[in-house]
Amino acid sequence: MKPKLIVILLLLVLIPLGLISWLGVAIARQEQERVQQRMQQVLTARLADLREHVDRLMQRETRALRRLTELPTSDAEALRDLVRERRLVRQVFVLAPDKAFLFPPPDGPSDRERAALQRLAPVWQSSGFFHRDGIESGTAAEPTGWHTWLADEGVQLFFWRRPADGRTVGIELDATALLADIIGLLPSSDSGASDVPAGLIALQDARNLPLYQWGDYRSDARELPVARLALAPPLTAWSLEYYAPAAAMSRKLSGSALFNVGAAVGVVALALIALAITLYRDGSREMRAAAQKVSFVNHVSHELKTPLTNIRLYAELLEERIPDDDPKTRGHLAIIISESHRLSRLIGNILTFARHQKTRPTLHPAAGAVDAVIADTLERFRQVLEDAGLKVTFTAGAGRSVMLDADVLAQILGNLFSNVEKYACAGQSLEVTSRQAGARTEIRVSDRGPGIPAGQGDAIFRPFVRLSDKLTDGVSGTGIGLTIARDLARLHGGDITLERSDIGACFKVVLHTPAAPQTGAP
Amino acid sequence: MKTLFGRYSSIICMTVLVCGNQRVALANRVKMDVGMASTHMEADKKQLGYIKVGLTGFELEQARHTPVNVAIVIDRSGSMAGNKIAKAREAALMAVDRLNAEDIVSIVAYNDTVAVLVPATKASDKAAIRAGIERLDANGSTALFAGVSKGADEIRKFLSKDRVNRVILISDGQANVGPSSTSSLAELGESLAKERIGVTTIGLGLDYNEDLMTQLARKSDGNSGFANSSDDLLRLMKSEFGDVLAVVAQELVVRLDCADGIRPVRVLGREAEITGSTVRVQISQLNAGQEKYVLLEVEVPATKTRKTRTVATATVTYANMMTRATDTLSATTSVRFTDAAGEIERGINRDVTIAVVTQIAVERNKLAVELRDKGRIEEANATLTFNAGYLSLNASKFDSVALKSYAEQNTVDANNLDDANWKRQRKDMRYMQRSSEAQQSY
Repeated sequence: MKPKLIVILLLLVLIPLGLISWLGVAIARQEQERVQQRMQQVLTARLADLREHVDRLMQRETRALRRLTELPTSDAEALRDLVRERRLVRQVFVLAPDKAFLFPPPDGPSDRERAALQRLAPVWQSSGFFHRDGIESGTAAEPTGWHTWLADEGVQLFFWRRPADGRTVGIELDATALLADIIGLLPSSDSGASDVPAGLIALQDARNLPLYQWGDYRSDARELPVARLALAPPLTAWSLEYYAPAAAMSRKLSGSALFNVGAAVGVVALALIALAITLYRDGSREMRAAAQKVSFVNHVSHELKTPLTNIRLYAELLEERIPDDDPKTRGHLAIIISESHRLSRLIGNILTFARHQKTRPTLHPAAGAVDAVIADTLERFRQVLEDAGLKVTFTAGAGRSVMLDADVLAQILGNLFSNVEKYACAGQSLEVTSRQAGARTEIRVSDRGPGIPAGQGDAIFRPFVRLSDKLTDGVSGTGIGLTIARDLARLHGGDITLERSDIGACFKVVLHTPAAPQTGAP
Repeated sequence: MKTLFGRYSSIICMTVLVCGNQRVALANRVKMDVGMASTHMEADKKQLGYIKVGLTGFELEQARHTPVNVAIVIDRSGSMAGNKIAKAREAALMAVDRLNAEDIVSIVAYNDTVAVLVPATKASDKAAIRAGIERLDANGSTALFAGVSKGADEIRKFLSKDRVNRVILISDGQANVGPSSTSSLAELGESLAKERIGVTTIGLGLDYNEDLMTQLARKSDGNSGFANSSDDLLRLMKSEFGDVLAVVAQELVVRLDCADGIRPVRVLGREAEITGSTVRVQISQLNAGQEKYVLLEVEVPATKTRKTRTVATATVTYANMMTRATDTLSATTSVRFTDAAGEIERGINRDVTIAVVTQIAVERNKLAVELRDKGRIEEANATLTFNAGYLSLNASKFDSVALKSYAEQNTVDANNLDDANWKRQRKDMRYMQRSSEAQQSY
């Protein structure tokens, strides 16, 4: 009983605790995901800020390039000076409306210009030259655009403008110089700067290799960036990427969330444990009190048993001495004997019940016949049953010698007969039938009394349950008779069940009665 | 649009037409010598000739140097840890000590990322600059491109034509973060040269990429140095600052217009732009008392004997750091044709011939590096041995100490082609090649 209580209380604590923990962890995880998403947004916004810087530089440079393309293009030496002096200008090209080169001069390009013409073959050969592949802007009358492509050395950039006269002025950008400018623009890693990120921000090229990076974080294995943003055209091949130590990021985030969940779970756990302890202490106190009561009743019953035995002994001795011609005295004595039998049965029941509460009683099987025990018990009840006006019918069918505990069976039958006498005397009939099949003995005890209301079939076997209303009115009883009978039947490897019957109640007693050994003592 | 010529505040045009050597000299002016290897050439034969435009810086008044704007860019990658970074710190501190209050200095350090230890600032608050240098430690990888870019960005904050603008890069490793190819760094050097920012590259130890470092220096017309041990670093830094602080002329543009019939072939040792018959060479700086030259190879058509042919007109414009003016010098050189071999021999110009011999020897030295790179050690050895013979022959003919020492250098090169010494020797050869090509002061 006690370990069961502890298990139940433990489950009471652990199940809600587990549920709450699981919920808490789920919420924390969700929270973490949310924070991570938010973090990603923040980092992306940061990258967007940086991109804005680069974009502005590009816009400035584009405006400068556009102004350069607006300069007169007839003076070859002036165009060459552009190439010599402008850091970002690697080469200048001027094409006639028919796409013939005006500059570099076809008759005398310098060695460098010749190399540039070859280097820019991808532009001249591009099918959608200055149209489809380029990023077009400017007015319809004076379109401008970028042509970008990827060479072995990296991104190549080409800016062009087509004035109204149909010529095309193109400028090949020095991507290396542009990169150096962008690097100059981006922050560096010196500890003096206030906005050094905890992670690492990298400007990546088209092959996803870092062109430039800054920040305190180092990762050997190239992990995925936390946030990534491609640069605006024409530098879409390059991107800004944010790398951060994932572990550090989540640790930082989930710290508070985990604490919250942990605190909630802890509080609930404490409450549950306190509740369980209270319940356990109340329960065990009640059980202690009940045990004390049982033990008290036990003591009292024992004390009662000895004088009762003496009463019965002397009453029976007296019965023999009373002459047969004094029926009045004999009648009085018979009542004393019968009532003392009833009293000893009650005490026996109480003692059995009390013993059951403490320890499981043991069976003492011995060779004997079931029918003999039934007949003996009926004989003991004969006077009482007769007085109650009950007609007894015994149909014997279990006469074989089997292993059985005669005392246990007598106690079972006594309880059943006593019940019939107490509650069903109105039926004026007690029918007992016995049957044997293999190691199984069935005894039916039926009456024609008021019967057991439907749905109460189980309740009657519980201790201290007495069916209320008129059935039990004015009838005395302890309410443990059927409980003890069933416990004993179960102890004997069987059971007692309430059979369905049209009139009155019918109890079926099943016992496990293996055949007695042939050579066994009686 | 501003044209190049529009900016000239004064034009000094001194043209003297004399057969042979032309000399232009004036106080506080760069001295220009234009000449050919000999006053005479063989008649009736299409042949190659060499024109040398020599430029010599005027002497500076004592205790005054041209203001400079330097960014010292230091590799702080893991390989620099220990003695190297300590010496780099020491070298930077020494450099800062030599600067005046008018000079501008910034200190940039890089590994995977770049840190601006000292943003561009006047060199007057030396304590703060020293504190920045002391923060220098070493770990991580080598983002060389970004380091130089950031150094240039610091220079740009005070970019001025009146200062010598230079990034001084000290590195001991291969670039491995960001653009890392020799061509990328060469392009970066070229774009910085347009802004008049030179990059001096000092390679430290035996593990740096000497091709990359030399190209970066060459394209930006900076100096190049090789510090075998970290102790050499201090010496090189001293030389570099001696060089930077002695600049008397900047943005030298040498233009050679070849006469009719003369075809320019190539310029030896320097970046040049050849358009038709015009050759254009830029030299970033010229120091007090130092000579730098442009050596042009031309194809001269067959000409009848006893005829004189104008070969080319050289025009030099430069920013005079003393007068803060832009000066222009011009001179024309011509050659006379003859049948008599003796006349050619008598007309030999020693300076020009030594320059020609030097540059040809440098080219042969480069060829030897290429051969050795391909594993053809025997051929490389033969080339260098031949080069040494060629140099010593000319050294004794012209009694030239420089040629003699270069001959010895080639012998040393020839003897160190084995695997054990090649790594160091290759760096030495690249350094000597660059130094000779650019007439570097160290």
